[in-house]
Amino acid sequence: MKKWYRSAAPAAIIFVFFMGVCVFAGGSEETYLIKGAKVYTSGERGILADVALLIENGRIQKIIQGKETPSVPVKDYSGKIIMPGLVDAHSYVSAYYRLLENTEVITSDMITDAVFDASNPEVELALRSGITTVNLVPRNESLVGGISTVLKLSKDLAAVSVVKKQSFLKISFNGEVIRSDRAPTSLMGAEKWLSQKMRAIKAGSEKERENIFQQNGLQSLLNGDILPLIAASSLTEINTALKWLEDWNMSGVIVGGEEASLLSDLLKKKNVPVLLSPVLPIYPEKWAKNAAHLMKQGLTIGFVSHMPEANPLSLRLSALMLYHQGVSQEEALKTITCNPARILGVADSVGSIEVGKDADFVVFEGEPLDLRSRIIAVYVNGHALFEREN
Amino acid sequence: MPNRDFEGNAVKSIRKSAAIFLFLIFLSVYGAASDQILLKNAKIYTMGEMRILENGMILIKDGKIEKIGPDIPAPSGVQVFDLVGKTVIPGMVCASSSLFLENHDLQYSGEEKPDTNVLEGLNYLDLHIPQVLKRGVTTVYISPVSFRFIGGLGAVVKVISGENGKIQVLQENAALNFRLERLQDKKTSNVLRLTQYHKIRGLFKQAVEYRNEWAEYTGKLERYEDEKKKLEEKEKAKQKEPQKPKKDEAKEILILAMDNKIPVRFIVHRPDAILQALQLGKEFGLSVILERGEEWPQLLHELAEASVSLLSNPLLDYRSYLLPGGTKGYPAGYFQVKETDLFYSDKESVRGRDPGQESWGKLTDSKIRFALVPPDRFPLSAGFMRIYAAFLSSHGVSPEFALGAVTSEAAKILGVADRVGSLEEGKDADLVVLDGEALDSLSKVEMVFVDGTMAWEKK
Amino acid sequence: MPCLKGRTRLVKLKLIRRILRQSLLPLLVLCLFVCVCHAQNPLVMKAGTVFIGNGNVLKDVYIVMQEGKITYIGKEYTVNPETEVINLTDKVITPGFIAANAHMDVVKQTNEEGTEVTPQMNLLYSVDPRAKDFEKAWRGGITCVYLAPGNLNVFSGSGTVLKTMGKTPQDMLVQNHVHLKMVLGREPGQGNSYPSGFGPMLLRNRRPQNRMGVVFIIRYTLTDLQNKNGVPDSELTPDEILFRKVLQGEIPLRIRAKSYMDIKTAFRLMEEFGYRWILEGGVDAYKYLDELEENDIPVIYGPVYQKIGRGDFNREDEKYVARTPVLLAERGIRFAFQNNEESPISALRDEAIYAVELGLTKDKALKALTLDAARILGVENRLGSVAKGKDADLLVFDGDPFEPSSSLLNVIIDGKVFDPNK
Repeated sequence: MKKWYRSAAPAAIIFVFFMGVCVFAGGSEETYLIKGAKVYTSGERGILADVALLIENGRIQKIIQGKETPSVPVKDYSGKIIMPGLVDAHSYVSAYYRLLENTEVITSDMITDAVFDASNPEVELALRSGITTVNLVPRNESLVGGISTVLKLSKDLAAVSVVKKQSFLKISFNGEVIRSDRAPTSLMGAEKWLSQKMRAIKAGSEKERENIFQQNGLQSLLNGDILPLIAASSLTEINTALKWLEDWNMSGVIVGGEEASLLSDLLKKKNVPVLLSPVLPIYPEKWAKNAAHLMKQGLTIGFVSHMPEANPLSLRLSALMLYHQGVSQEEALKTITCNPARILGVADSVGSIEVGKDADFVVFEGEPLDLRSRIIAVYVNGHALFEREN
Repeated sequence: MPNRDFEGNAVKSIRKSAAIFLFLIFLSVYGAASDQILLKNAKIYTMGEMRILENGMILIKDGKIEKIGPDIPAPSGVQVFDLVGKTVIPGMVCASSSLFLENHDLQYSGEEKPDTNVLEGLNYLDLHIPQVLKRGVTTVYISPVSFRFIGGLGAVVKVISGENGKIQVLQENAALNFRLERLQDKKTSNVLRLTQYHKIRGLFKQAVEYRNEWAEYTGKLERYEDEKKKLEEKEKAKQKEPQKPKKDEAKEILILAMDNKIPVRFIVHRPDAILQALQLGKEFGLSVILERGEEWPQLLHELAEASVSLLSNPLLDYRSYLLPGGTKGYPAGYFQVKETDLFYSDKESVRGRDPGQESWGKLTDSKIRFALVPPDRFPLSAGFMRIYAAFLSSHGVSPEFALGAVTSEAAKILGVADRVGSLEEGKDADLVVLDGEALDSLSKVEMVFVDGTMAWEKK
Repeated sequence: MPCLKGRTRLVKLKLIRRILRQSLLPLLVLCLFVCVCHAQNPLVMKAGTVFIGNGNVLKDVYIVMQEGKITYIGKEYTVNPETEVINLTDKVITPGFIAANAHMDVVKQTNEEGTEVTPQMNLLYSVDPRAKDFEKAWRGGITCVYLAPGNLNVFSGSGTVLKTMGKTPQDMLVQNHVHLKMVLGREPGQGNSYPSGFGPMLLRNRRPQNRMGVVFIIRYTLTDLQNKNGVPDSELTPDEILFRKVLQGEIPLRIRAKSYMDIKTAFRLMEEFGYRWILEGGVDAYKYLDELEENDIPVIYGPVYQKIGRGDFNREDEKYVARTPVLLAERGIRFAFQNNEESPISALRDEAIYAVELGLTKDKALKALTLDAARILGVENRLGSVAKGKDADLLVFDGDPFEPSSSLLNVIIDGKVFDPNK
């Protein structure tokens, strides 16, 4: 009587195993191989030639160099160059008019994921320009605009995935926040106003009504649950931002930084990364020297686009201008891929082509920094969200 | 004995130094006479009949291209540049720029009449010039700025700081500038555009009347002169000379435009404005150049039929003018722009119709003459022509077409193709030496020649 | 190296000792050399005439500066033969001039008008060191300035004392939070208006519109605080803590008051609330010489030739206004010079020359430009005179500094020499 299951058991085990393998192998519909002539990984492995990327379930499963490739469907981009999807760390894409809440100058509870509009043509334009991840931020006209969200671009709202729900609290010491018809009317006032509000929240003396827009965001800041992203362009604005960070013993990130090279020692000492505004034809030389200087000082810099205030091409253009200052192509590309990802704190999933990261990449006809190169395809989470015909 | 040796040596050394001295004089005299430069072993994009010379040579003499071809014998005393591995293109032409204009003139310059001439307000010491020149742009068209319907006369100049305060003008009164669509005050409206249209039309109609008046007067004067010859002295005094109409400089310019002597440029963005520009061209027989014209793909057929020229750029998006923040550098406004202020809502923007701007490929086969212009009015944008051309070539347009859009075609549209825009015998020696492919953004400019002299060299 | 094989251990030790002995002296010299090189070479000047700043004059003395400070001033100095002595035996040295109040265009927005009581405002981090006015200042001989927020608020903030040269404002800082500025008169009311009809109470409507409103705000604020006398510091807002310090005399008020009405108000409020204060502006100060002397109130006065403005100006006293520095000096009231919106900062020396022409003694004039200004600002331990231990901020003239014909040859800030003419 006992003997039958002794023989049946191994069969059963093999059967279960077999089914498991089938399910496992067949269940992952999103497994395929991407072949490319050259890959800028923006990671430790540097530039790789003639590689195949094994994509599974939207992630990079393996990077294969050599002839032996698994038998899975292949997307052949031989002869083409692949780089990680661009990470735009400061963008208003698709929601420019909805990212400014003007009722109060401090609206720290606004969260930007609510306003992203996937059907807006700007999203398609951004995707076609190679941008796959954006940090959607409130505008610079509010002293504390709200909380930013890092999300993956998609034309289908249902498919938009949030990479980091509450990435930063956006604060602005930029010229746009200074007005003459309401406080703050000066830069020193902006900094003091904010500190005053934070002290009041810390002391718990804020009245209930005033908490509506201001409590949670600033409270998270005080608790250390969220970092500040401070918009500051000129020397005085960056100096004030650094002083404010020191007063509150916080680390943060500066965005804008057009004159950051003048304070590079201070920025380095306090370990504050800088997200630089894109090159603007007003002062391309000064801008380029500013960026190159910061990079040479060893600061982590990334370029942003302020879309739609600047064209999404400006990311590649900024990296190109940096290249012309003597920086290598690989390092220049890092400023629009892994550096912004690192600064945003999402480098474990985006920003570079490495095993385990999301399958976000852009396929170029030629060198990415050569503006003649057409973008053949843009992949987000392993899906081709843009693919050129022929 | 030592003395003798000494004397002998002295004589020898005097002879030696004399010989060297004479040789040097000989060299300098001969050298001075040779202001000829020979460039050899380069890949040359002539943008002319010779097209591309894989291994070509250019002989420059007296600021002009003396000879160009695959093999040129080098005259003695010529300065030779061996450009093996390098590329040579013509000095680039920017068809719309705000170089040489002072700060406030960037906003508004002149009295906004047809005879307003931009040459009267130029700053020859513009500090932007070296930065534009070092990127290879050697010729620009400067238009007087205005946000109202008329700008005035523009000019084509060379991008070199004027010596003795003189700017090198290639073509004065190169074109008459009109603005048919105004995007001032972060708004745009049809009423505004119609007003502009009627004002421009009224202006031309007045010019037609003026021309008729003068034609009439000329006719009357002839008859009066004829009759005077036949009459007696007494009768002569009785005859009344026909009244001479007033001379009006502005209307004279408009008449020149109607006679196709001066092309007319219209700044337009949307289809209705483009159609109105074409209408004006037809009614008054103007030679029309459309500036910006972002929505041109919708009217491809009409544009080809009317044989107009188009100055545009894939990076242009008139919606960016409508943002309160604008492009960084424009101050953020006090205005809260409501979406109803936009003529097109978010969804119906330019991008919505053609987000990838794939229609640029259609330009190559159409009869529309095309040149690239910067997408904004910053003075230094003129320097980025090669970048715009590279970007254009990634939009389904051949590299030759893209390069032409910043060299030969631009020169033709500006009316200065007899001097610049291509490397051909007899033309100005304006050329750019690159260390890589012509449109490769990664290649760097090594030398820039203007009028046969090295205007910039990479250190 | 001698062969050590076969030698005894003792001999080896002797050898080692010998080597050490022989190398000791060179090592010592090397150390000394390194130490000397490491320490900045002192800058030694032999000066002909030195106006110390406190009224004393020294002739033919050595001034030694090192690492930005004056380390020695006197006749007995042994000069290291390697050090170069700058020969200024026919020149005149004075301390660097201090503008006890400087109107300079170095901060974009100097007024925080969100509310009219902003005692915590401070300009330090909004200062742009590249501003042209800093260059104009040091080329005019001014090595140190006091910058305060603007005049459009009742309590506009605290001032900053800065050197006129540096890469960042933190590098230029001498002392921050110096004096609390209070503005009397019509200035805080500028730009504010009545609400129109039944319009909302906006920023401009809620602010004071004339001097009565200004005084109301002052009384309101200070009385409010007086009522909280027993309340411990931990329960006060930071603004209130500042005002408490003012009422206790710890922080002096710097009161900007030009016309006689406003100066009278300042005295009246002083009697009510008992604060320490400094008068800034003071066009009509000559009318209050007794009160100023009695209460030992310093005055920051300037420009020498100035008018208040329409409505406030008492024309019959025009001839006395310009002589105010002379009158103040006669009474022993401490004063310093300032410029205003119309006169450039570089003209501070000219102000002193005018005053001298009108009868001010030269030593008092120099004191007003240097030591008294430093005393008023509370930085006299570092600046204001040529003395050992103070900052090496000096001016080199080719003659009497109060003769218009003498020119400024060199400006020394923190021991670094600059040429104001280049």
